[in-house]
Amino acid sequence: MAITKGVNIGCGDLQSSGGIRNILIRSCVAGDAVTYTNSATAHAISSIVDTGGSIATWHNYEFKNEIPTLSVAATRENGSTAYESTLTFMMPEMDSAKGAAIQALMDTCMMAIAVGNNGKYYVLGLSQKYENEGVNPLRNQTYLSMTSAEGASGAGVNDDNGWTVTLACKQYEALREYTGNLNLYTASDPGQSTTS
Amino acid sequence: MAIADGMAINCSDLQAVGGTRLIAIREWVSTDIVVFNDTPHDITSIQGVGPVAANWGVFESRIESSSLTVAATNEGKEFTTFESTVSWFIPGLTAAQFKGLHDFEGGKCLMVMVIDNNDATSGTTTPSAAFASNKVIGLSHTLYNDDNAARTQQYATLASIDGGTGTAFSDEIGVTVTITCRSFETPRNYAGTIALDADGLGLTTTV
Repeated sequence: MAITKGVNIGCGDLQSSGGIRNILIRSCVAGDAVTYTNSATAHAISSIVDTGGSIATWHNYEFKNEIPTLSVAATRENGSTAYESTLTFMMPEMDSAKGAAIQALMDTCMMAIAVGNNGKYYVLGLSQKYENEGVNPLRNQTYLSMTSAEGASGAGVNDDNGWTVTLACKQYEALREYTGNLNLYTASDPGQSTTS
Repeated sequence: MAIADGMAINCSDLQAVGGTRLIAIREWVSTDIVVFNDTPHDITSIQGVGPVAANWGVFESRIESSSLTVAATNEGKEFTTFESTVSWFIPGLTAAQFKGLHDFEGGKCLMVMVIDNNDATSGTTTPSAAFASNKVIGLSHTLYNDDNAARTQQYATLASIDGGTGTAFSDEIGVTVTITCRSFETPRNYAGTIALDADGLGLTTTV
């Protein structure tokens, strides 16, 4: 793809805040429909819905503030560039509910939306490059998975007690921004959000 | 054939991506209609008798685990021997997968089409609807012994299925399937029409 546009940096970009505000996670399910937006000025996903065709339900994973990070590292070998994206967050206090939450992250192929403090929605685990058949967004095997979970009680009374969870995915395109509708903390279930 | 031109390497060649996108397999039928075009060294038709579209099964693999390798040797004769090998890893070790593998066991004579990742323009992410960047093994037109494509005896055949459960929980469970063929020319490109089925698990070739 030829370079047809450059990038401007405006005042708003310079005010962009760091850190993550919300983390939403769901399992990839057969029948999910994903709409990708590709142009010279957009590399995004405009819709994520499940087999019902109207919404997709996400689960909110809360965390201790100012700890979660999203990082992306791209490396190029020959004609292919691989993007390793990592989302890390800390759930304070190791208890039964947190243990169950971590159990749910095992053995499943996931996608996640990390909402930045700059108001942007970053999608992990969904990518279009090398989607090997173009008939199903889940066939490209670039899912998000839990790569580590570290629990620690700490030693001192002032130490943190909790789980640090790392989710990672390897994709072959830059991280996409979600530009569709996102309803955070829907009233019907305070632990859920929806995209449409 | 005289060497009339050399070969250019362009920027787009340097962006070529490794690995395979799809592996399609079908069993040879003696009445298959195969048309070779030796000028560009490709195949312009793979069809069933009728002619009707030829049906292929598409085999998915674990991402970045499948490959086509070609090794050519010449022993000072007027022909060169090409050993082509297609292999891919199937994770899971399930009954349905074994059934799929069983379908091309038993000494079946196969043709295999390997479609790589180079149809899409570099930098774009949309999967290409074209399947032009492909290579076919199990079909060849050099040293064929009769004027019938099925008589070349240069079929692809199942060479091995290796794998198992592993021992540790973190081991891979699955099998690596290897299909080989011996021919006397480089693998050809299929220049006809390739249409992927709606579910992505089959394709058809026509002229």
